[in-house]
Amino acid sequence: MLFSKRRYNSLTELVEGCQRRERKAQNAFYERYQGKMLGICRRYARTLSEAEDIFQEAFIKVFKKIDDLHTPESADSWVKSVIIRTALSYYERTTKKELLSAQIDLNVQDWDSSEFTSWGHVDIELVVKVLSDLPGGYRTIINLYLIDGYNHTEIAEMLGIEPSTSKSQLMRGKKLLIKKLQEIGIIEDERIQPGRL
Amino acid sequence: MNGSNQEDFKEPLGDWLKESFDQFELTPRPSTRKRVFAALPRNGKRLVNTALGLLVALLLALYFVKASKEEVAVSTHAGKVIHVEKVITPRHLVPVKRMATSSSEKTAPELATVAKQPDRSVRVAAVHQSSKAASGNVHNEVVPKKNQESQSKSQSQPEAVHDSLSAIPPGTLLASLPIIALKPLETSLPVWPKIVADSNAPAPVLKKKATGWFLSVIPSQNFQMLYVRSNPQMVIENIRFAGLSSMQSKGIKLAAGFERWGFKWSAAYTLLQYRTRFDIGDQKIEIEQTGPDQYKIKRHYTSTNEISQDLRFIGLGIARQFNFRVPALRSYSAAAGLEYTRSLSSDQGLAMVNVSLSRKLPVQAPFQISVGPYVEVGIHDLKIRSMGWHYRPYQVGLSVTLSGAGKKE
Repeated sequence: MLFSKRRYNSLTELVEGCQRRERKAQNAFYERYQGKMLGICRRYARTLSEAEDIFQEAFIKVFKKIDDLHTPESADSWVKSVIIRTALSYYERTTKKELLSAQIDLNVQDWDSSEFTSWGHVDIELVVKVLSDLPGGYRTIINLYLIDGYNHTEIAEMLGIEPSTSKSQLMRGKKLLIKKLQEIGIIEDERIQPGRL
Repeated sequence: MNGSNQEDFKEPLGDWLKESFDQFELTPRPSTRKRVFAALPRNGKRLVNTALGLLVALLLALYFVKASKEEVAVSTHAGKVIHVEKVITPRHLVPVKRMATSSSEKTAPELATVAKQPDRSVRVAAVHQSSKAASGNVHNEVVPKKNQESQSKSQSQPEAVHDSLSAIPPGTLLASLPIIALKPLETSLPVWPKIVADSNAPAPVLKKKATGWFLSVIPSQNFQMLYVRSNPQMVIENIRFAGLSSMQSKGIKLAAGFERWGFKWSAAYTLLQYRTRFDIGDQKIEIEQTGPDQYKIKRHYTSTNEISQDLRFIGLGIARQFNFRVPALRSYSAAAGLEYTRSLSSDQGLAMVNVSLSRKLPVQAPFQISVGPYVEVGIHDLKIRSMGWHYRPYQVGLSVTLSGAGKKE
């Protein structure tokens, strides 16, 4: 056993190995989640460098708090939750005031996104760049609501704001996002380029 | 995240974003991985506990071996050897003291003192070495009741001897016998060497040509000189070290070796634990008005970073031992040495010089315990590879050494 290679045949075994502070389990755990989690961090961050900072801080938290994970089967959602909360904490120090006070002249026509039913596949790097260029508050709420599936009550609780603020910020954020997608040509004439989507 | 945002249940923009990011992954740089794992607490306690346990077991084993040898034969000043043979008897059997001669010659019996042992019977056979060649050996025995009964047939009238002895006044009998005050056999278990109280005798000094051994445990507090070398991408003034929590470190060294020709030759295991916390500022600043025409400028920081590094070394060392000749300092010794170690956790070596001063505590020969301060200083740098930093460690600790004399030449 001393020199044999330890294998973790299930997520439960992997989590339990991490809870025993086994370095091999931690390595395997890191391998399993690194790509996906850095992707999430990148959505919430302005730059890749910031994303890596959030990722590092979050993963250290994951390993230190993994004893709190009592149902190893739910590790996927638990890790994602820790990553998102770390990202929020990271930006709480820098963008909270911006979120509450940003007044941006959107100058975008009212646009009903429900008219568009055929959203195709685009170069994800372009979309990441558009998200990154959004003000931090809008980016956070778009991520939380549209991509990660939190509702306004949950978002309000996580960010320490009113649900109505969350709703209004989402509306503004969506408008700004669409405007920027139009600017880079992903959406043309208020419609999505069929060839690029 | 539970998908409960049903307020805008039809949200093509959200669905498209979700779908686009569903398989979105990025690969972190290898340095990120190193930083994550460097910040994790390692399970080093297990190794330290194991090492300490082994050391204690080794010390006990050494002492047991030594003590059992001493128990086999206890010499008396009269040139007799008391052979001790333990006979385990059930607890309910009370040892009965009887004296009987095994020889047909009626020479005066010699008495042996038997320690009181409530649950063991001890048979003590006293054999006069000087009379080995003589035909009449005197054999005194104290045997358990059952054994004595089984042997009674071969013994010659023990009751008569007993009666004749009891007829003699005790004072006369004791005065007529060459009784030697033997050290009582208190227990068959060894005991720790007794520290001699109020001893004016100088501590034993190992002869140069004799070989001794030693085992040391040195818990220490570690410090380090940290070098942050700048490069065009690094802004040093943005680094802020956390006050009390920075530079927390501790260590332990376990060493064993032998002493000969006035030098100590040792193999050592060293564990150094470093914890360093710091913040790194980013390029954003926050301006807060604190009064009329007064502003407070605060630089944003990314987050608190922590470098946690456990270094384990195995090395070889040599030290010159100095024993003071001045009477007032005879119970002290000093040592100065050099040690080269290699890290088990990273490919680094470290050379260190060390100095110690010890107070020699007089204990039962051949052991000696020395206790005193120990200082060790690195003579070149170690690297924190993930950060590109260098540091030079030094430790201050307390050395506790158990030593003993070995073979003399």
